[in-house]
Amino acid sequence: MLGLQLAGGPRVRSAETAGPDLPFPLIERFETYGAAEGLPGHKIQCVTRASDGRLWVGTYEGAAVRENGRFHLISTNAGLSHRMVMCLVEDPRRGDLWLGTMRGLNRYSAGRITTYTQTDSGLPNNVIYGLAIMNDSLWVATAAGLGMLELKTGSWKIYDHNNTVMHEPWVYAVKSAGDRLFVGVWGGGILEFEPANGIFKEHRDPDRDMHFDLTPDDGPVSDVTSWIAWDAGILWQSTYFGLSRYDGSRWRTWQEKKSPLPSNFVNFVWARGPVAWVGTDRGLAVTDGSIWANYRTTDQGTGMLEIAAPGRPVENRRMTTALPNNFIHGIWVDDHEAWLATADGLAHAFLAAPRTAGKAGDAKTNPATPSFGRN
Amino acid sequence: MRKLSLILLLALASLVGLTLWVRQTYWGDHRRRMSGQTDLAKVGCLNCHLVSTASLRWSQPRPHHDTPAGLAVSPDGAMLYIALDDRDEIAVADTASRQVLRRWKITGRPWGLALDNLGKRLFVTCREGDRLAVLDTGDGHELASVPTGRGPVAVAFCRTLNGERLVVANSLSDDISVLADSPWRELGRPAAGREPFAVAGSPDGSRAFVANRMVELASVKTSPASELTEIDTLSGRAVRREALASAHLSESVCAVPSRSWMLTPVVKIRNQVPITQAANGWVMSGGLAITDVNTGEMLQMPLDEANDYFADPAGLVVDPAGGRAFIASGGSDVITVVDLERMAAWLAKASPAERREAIYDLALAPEYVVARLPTGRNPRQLALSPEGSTLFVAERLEDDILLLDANQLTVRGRIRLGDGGSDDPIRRGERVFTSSAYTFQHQFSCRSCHPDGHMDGLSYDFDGDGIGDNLLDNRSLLGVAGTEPFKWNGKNPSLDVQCGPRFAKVLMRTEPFPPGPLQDLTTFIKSLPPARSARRGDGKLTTAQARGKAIFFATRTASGKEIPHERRCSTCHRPPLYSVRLPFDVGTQGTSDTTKAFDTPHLLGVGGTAPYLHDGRAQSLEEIWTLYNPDDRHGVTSDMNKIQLNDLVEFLKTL
Amino acid sequence: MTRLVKPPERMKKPFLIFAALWLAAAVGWCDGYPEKLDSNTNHLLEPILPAGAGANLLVEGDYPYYGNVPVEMRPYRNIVPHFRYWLTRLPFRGPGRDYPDPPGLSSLKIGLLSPPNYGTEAKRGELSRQGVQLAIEEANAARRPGELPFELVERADSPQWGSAANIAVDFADANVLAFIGTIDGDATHVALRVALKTETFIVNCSDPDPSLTETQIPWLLRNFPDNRQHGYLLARLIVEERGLTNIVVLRANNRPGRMGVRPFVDAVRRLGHPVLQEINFKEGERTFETSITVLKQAQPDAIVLWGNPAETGLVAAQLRSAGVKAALFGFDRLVDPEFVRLAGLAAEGVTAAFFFDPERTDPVWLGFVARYEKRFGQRPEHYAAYGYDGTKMLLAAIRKVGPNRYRIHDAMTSIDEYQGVSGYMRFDGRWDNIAPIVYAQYLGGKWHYLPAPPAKSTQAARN
Repeated sequence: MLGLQLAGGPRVRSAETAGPDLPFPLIERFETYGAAEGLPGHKIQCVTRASDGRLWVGTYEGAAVRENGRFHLISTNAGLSHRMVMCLVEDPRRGDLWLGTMRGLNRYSAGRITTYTQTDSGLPNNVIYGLAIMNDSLWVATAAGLGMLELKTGSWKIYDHNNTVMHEPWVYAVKSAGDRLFVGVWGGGILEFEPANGIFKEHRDPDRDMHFDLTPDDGPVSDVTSWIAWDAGILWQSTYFGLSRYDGSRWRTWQEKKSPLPSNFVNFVWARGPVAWVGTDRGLAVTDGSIWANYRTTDQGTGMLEIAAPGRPVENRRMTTALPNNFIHGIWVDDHEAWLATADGLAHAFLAAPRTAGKAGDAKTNPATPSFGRN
Repeated sequence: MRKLSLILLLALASLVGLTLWVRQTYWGDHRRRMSGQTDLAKVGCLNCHLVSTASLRWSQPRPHHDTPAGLAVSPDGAMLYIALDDRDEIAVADTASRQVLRRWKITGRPWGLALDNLGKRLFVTCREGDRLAVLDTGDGHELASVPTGRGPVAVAFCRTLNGERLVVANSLSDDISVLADSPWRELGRPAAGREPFAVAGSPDGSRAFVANRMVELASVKTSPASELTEIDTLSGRAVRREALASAHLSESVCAVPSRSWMLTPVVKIRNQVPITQAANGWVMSGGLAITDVNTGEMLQMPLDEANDYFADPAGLVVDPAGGRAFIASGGSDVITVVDLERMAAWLAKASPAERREAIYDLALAPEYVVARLPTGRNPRQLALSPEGSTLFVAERLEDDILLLDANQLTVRGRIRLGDGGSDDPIRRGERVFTSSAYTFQHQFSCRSCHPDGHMDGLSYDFDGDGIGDNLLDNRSLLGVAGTEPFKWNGKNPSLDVQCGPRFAKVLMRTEPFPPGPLQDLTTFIKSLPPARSARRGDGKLTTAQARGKAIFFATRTASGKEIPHERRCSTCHRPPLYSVRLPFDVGTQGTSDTTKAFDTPHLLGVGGTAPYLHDGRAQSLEEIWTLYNPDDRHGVTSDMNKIQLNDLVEFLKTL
Repeated sequence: MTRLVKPPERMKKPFLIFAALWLAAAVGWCDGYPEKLDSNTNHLLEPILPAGAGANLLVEGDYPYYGNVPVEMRPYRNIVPHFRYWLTRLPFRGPGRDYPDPPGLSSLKIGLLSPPNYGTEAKRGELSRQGVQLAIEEANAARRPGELPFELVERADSPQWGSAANIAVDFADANVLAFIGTIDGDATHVALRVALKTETFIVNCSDPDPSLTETQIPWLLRNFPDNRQHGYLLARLIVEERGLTNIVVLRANNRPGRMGVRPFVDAVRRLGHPVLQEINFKEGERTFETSITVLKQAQPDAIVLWGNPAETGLVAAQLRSAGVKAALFGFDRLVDPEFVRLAGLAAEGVTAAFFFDPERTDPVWLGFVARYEKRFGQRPEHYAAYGYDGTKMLLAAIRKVGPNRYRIHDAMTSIDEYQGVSGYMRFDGRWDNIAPIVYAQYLGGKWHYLPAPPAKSTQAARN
C-alpha cells in the first residue's frame, strides 16, 4: 500500500534491484487517537502494550487503558496519585502495571491502585521519570535518586550520589538489561549496575563540557541523559544533544546536521533488536545506526518519510497519513505496530511486513515494502 | 553500747541524708536530663534499667496442645486430615471410627490444608516456615517443600488446562503465591489485600478467590474496607480486587456450586461510631458477603439477630448442591446454617436499595438462617465430606473435631485430638479471650478486635462523651507483657485493670469478667509473643538494617550535633522492650486530645502494626517522621536524608 | 602480487593521519550523509597554550559563544570540535501556542520558589522575594481596566529529598503561568527538569551555578550573571591584570562551591597557570589551620575564595594571621558586611567579582532604590534588583501575550537584551545574562566598584 501512497509516481522498484533490504519495517499509515476517542488528554507522555494485550496510555490528564476498542480512564478520582503520568512498566510476573507520575508511584493491580509517595514509603522522590522491572524488584528513576522496591518484601533501597558513583542524584531513566541495569542520570551520563555484585560503572561524555562534542563516537554524546533503551545487547541513549549507541565495546553518536537524526532534542528511544525508534521534537526516526527512516508532519499537515542510507541520495516520500504531532514523548513497538505518544495525540502506526532475504518481497507480493532509489 | 548506737544512728542518718541528697540532686537531674520532663510521675530506676524479657510470660516455656487448625477430607470421605499447628503435626483420622490413625511431623507451624483431586497429595501451608509442604498421603513423607511468601495460611488446589495450580494466601507479606507443578514452583506472586487469610478455587478451577482479613490502610476518617482478590489460576495473576466495604476479619471463602456466588463471612465494622454505641449494636455485627463472580456485584447479608449476635464468623462451607451454607461463629460457639435458596429468593424480590441496605437489617436473618447449632469452644475451620453429609468442625480450644450430620443437623460424634488443656491457664485464658459470652448481646469477643491477639488496624473512639471525634489506634496485644501501663494515655496500670473493670465499663456493657477468668485472660495475653519481625532467619542484620540500628542508637545527628537525651530513639524506646513505659510528648497532640503526652508503645513487631501514633494518623512508619514530626520532637529526624530514614525503617521492622 | 613496502617509522604517523583523512573523505563522499569514522577516540587532553598565545579559531554563531568568554579562555580553542551547541537557540517545537486562554481566571498566577526560610540562603532568598514582590505590586498598581491582577504563589524549598521538584509540580497544579527561583543550583536544576515536563517557564534571578543552563532545556532564562562571568573576570584580573600566577582556590565543600569555581579553575588553566591547589572547607567551620598549612606550601601569590561570608571572613583573617601575604580574591559573596566584619584588617585590598555598581546614580537605579526603601525600609542590593528585573521581564511578557504558557515561553526566549534596574542585560544562546559585570575592591574601609578591564585578546584586537 505504501508504494501507492508515496508521491513521485506509483512505480516502485523491487528490493533486489534497488539495494539492500531495510533492516526494519516501514510505517504504512498512522491512525490518531485523542480526546474525541476517549483519551483523557491530548498531551500523551507514554504508551505501552501489556502482555495481556491491553494498551496503556499515560497522559497529562490521567492514564487510560484500551480494552475492546475503547479507552477507560484511570484518573485521580480512581486513586491515581497525580494526573500527569510520566512512565509505565508492566511487572510480567504479577501482571501489575506500575505508573510513575509527577507525584508518586502507583501500582495498578487487577483494578486496584496502590500509591507510594516519598512521605509514606521509601520512595526517594515523588517525581518519577522512569520505571523498570528486574525479576522481583521495581526500579524507579526519580528526581532525587534511583529507588528500588523489593516486591516480595516491600523494602526500599535508594541509590544516589551518597552511595554510588552517581554524579548527581537526578535520575531520568532506568532500563533492565538481563543481569544488569542501565540508569540514565541527568548530568551524570549512564550508570551500568550489576545488582548481583553491587558494582556501578559510569559511562560519561569524555568531553566534560556541554558546549561541544569534541569528537564523535568517543562515548555518550552528552551527560544529560533523557532516556535509555536496551535490547539484544545494544544500549541506546537519548539526550537533548543527540543520540548515542553502545554495543558493549564501542560507542556511536549522532547529531542533527551531522547525520540524518532530525533533531538533537531527543525525548525518547525504544530499542527493538538492533533498531532504535527515536522520538524527537521533529518527528520520529527509525534507524539501525546506518539506515534511517524519518517520519514527520509538515507545517501543512502532510506526512513525510525521509529515507537516508549510506551511499544513496536521501529519498523523500509523501504519506497519506501523518503523525498528529512531531513532538514525540514515548514509543512502543513490536513487529506489527507502533504506538507513539505525542504532544498532541496518540498515534497508532501500522507497519509493513518486513521482507526477508530469499523471499521475493517485491511490490507485487508486498506492495507496502518500500525500496531505495527510483528510476 | 551507747556509743555504738550513736554511731549507728549517725550512720543511718547519713545514709538517709545521702539518699535524700542523691534523690534531690542526682535522681531528679538524671530524670529530667534523660526525659526532658520535670513532671514525670511514678518513674523508677526499673523503667529503664535492669529490664529483661527473659522473665516475661511469653519468653517462658508453655504447654502445647492438640489444637486443630486446617481440615481436609479425602475424596472418598474416609479420611480427615487435621493440621495441629501447636504441635507441628498433621493428624490423620478415620471418619467412620472417629479415631486418629496417624500423626505426621511437619515443621513450620502447619495451618492450611488442601488435597489434590485424587487425594494422593496433601498440601500444607507452614505458617512460620514460609513454605508449602507437599505430603504423600500414603505415608506422610514430604514430597516437596516450596518457598512461599511470608506467613502462608491457606491453600487451594486447582486444575487448569495447563496443569495443576496451588494458590497460597501469604498472610504476612500480603500477597499470593501461585504455584505450578512439575516440579512445584512459584509461577506468580500477585499482590493481595492486607493479610490474605483464606482461599478457594472456583468449581472449574480457572479462578481462585482470596479473602483478606484486615482492612486496607487508609485515613482513619474514611470508611474501612477489606478485599476479595480474584486470581486467574492459569496465569497466576490477579484479575480482580474488590473492596468489601466496612467489612473485615474474613477467615474463609467458598464458592456456591449451583450459583455464580462466592461467599465470605465478614465482620461488619462501624469503628467510627463511638464505642458507647456498642450498647445499641452499632459497632460490629456478623454478616455474609456475596460476590457474584460473573457480574462483580457484591452484597452483604446479616447473620446476627437484633438481640443476639454470633461473633467472630470464621469457617464457611457450602454443601455440594449449593443449598446450604454453614458458618462457624468462633466467638459464640455456634454453627449458623443458611438456606441459600431462601436467601436467593429474598434477594430476587428485594429492590436494589433493600439489597444494598440488607446488612443493616438485623431482623432479616430469620428469612434464611435455618439453624444455629451449638458447638464446643471456638469453632473455626469447617470441612464437608465430599457428598455433603458430614460437617467437620474444628473446635479449636477443645482439641477435637465435631462431626455433624449436615442433613439432619445432629451431632454424630467427635474426634478427640487432645485433652482440651483445661488445666492450662493460658488455654483457659484463650477461651475467655475468644468468647463473646461476656459482652452485651454477645456482640464481640476480645478477639473481634485482636484477631490472634494482634490488632485489626482500626481506630476506635473510646471517649465516654459519645461524640466520636477522638479516634484512638487499636494496639496489638502481641508482646504486650511487661509493657504496662496500658491505654494510650497510660492510665491503666495493669492488664487486670485494663481487661477488668475498664473493659467492662467501656466495651462489654455488662458485668466484668469474674476473677478466675480474668486471671486466665491476662495470663493468656501475657503469653502472646511479639509479632514476627522481618529479621533474617540467621538473626543477622542486613547492611541497611545495621545502618538503621546505628541511627536508632545515635547520640549525634548526621551533622554531628549532640541529640538531647529525650529526643534519642533509644531513650524512650529503650531495649529490650523498646519502651520505658512512660508517657512522652512527641508533638502529636490532636485537636481532640486532652493530653500532650502519650504512652510509649513497645516496638517489638512494630513493622506489622500499621497504622501508627496514638490516633493511627500515620499509615506507615515513614509517615511518623515525614509528616508528623515537624519539630523534631519524636526523634531528631529532619536532617536525615531518605537513605537514612529508609535504613531506620528497615531496622525497626527487625524488632 | 603487490608487496607492501613498510614505511619508515618516522613516516608512520603522518601516513596514518593521511590514510584516516582519506578514508573519512572517501566515506563522506560516497554516503548520502556525512558518515563518521568509528574512531573510538578516548578523551583528548586539552592542550594548554602558553599565556598570551591567543587563539587561531574564532567561532562566530548567531549568539555569543561559550558565555562570551574571551577566546583565550575557551577550551580546545585550537581544535574544531565535531559539534558546537548554543550557537543558535534551542527552539521549543511542541504545540500549545494556540491553546485557548484558561477560562474563569481571576488572577494571573506566578510561582516563586524560594530557599528555605532558615539556613544560609534564607536572607538572600528574602531579599530576592522582596524584589519580586515589589515588581508585582507595582504591576498590579499600574494595571489598566480589564487587566487581571498578578498573584504570587510562594513556596519555600527544603534542603533535601528533591523538594524543588515537588514544588514545581505544585506550581503546575496551581496553574501558575511561570515561576521564579531559586538560589540553590541543585534545587533550580531539579525544578527545571520538572518545568520541561510541565512546560512552565522559569525565570531565574539568583542562581550562580554555571551548569544550570547547560542542559538544553528551553524553559529558563537567567538574568543573574553566573559564576562563569565571575570566574572569567577573576581570571583576567589575577593573571592578565596583576600578573599573578601561583593561584590557590579555597572553597566551600558543597555543590555550589564545586560548580562555582569550575569556570575560574578552567580559565586560569587555559591561560597557562593552572590552580596549584583547590582546598575545601566545610560550612560552619571556624578554624582553618590545616587548610592554611597546606596552602602555604604552595606559596601562592593569589588566593581565590568561594563561600559564604561566615567562613570566608574567618579564612581571610586567619590567612593574614598565619602570615600569608598573597592577594585575596573572591566571588560576589565577599561583598558583604559580615565578611568585612569577620575578616577585619584582612579585608583591606580584597578584590571580588561583582554584578553591578550599587552606588550608581542613574535615575533608574535611584528610583528603584527609593521605591524599595519606601516599601521595605531598607536599601536594596543585587538579589532584590535581579528579582525585580526578572519579574518585570516576566510580567511584561505575560501582559504582552496573555495567559498562555507557550506564548509566554516564546516571549521570554526571544529576549536578547533588557535594560533593568540592575543595568544592561545581554542574553546568549542559553538565555544567560552575559553583560559585563564589575569588580569590587575593599580599600580604605569601603568597597569600590570598578568596571571590568577588557580581555587581553580584545585589547590586542583593538590594537
